[in-house]
Amino acid sequence: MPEPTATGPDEAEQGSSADVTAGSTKHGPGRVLITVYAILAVGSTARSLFELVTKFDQAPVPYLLSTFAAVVYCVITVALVKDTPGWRRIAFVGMVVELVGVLVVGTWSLVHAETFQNTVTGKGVHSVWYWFGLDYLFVPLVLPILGLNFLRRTRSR
Amino acid sequence: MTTAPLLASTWPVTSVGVVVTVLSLLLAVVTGVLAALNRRITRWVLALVALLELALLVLTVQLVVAWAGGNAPEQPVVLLAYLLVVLVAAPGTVWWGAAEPGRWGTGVVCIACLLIPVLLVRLQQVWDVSVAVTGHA
Repeated sequence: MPEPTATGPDEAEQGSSADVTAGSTKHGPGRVLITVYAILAVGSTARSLFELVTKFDQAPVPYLLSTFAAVVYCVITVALVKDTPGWRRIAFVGMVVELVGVLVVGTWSLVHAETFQNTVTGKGVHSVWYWFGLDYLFVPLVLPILGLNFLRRTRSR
Repeated sequence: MTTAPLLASTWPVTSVGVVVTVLSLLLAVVTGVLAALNRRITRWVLALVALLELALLVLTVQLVVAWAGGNAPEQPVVLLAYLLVVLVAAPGTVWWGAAEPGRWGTGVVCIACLLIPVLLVRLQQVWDVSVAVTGHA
């Protein structure tokens, strides 16, 4: 298919990343997105494994919510790296789940603090999406918005 | 705090920690500017990354020596996990970013340089739980 517009290599080199990387989730801004998702995936997976193994009984709901967040981050990371139309759809669904999850769990942790409590000590217990991702400097709240915007902008036509 | 006696689970690497934090934040600014200018990582940035990694290795050795000397961390498993991530962060992102010319490849390294100081704070918190403010693992 011939290019309808005169988009030369010079223009492509100067940025305008959406044009250069149309359709790819592994290049351009996707490279940075994968990095942040991978960091959150490693962080939340390690955290939830540790919580499940050492103290699951003390606060099952927050720890299961952490595990759920970890699974979502792992799926999105893999999907973005795989970079095929099918995996792209999975990444999209994952980010929607992530956005809904962080909003629901964040609100839940604010309005119903009793759920986020250690049954043994009575102390508050955090979860990955606790207070909209407070433990991760609110990156979990911003990331799905950036991610969904990235997928929309790099959609292949 | 300079006169504090050496107690069990006292964070042992304050000065190297400061070096790592300063280097890392400096690199975050440099790579941030390079990314804004849509530049690749230059040779001297790579040299700074190598220096940062060297400082992190010195920090690791200090931790191991302190640990062997009886100043053990309060949460050893979590500490080792953080230590592993902090050690692979810079080389890992240089590798991952090198394959991508222009701002996004450089931006990847910038993220690692922002992450490392945060991980260092967490390392300190899991070594000496009395430092922790958030209380989770």
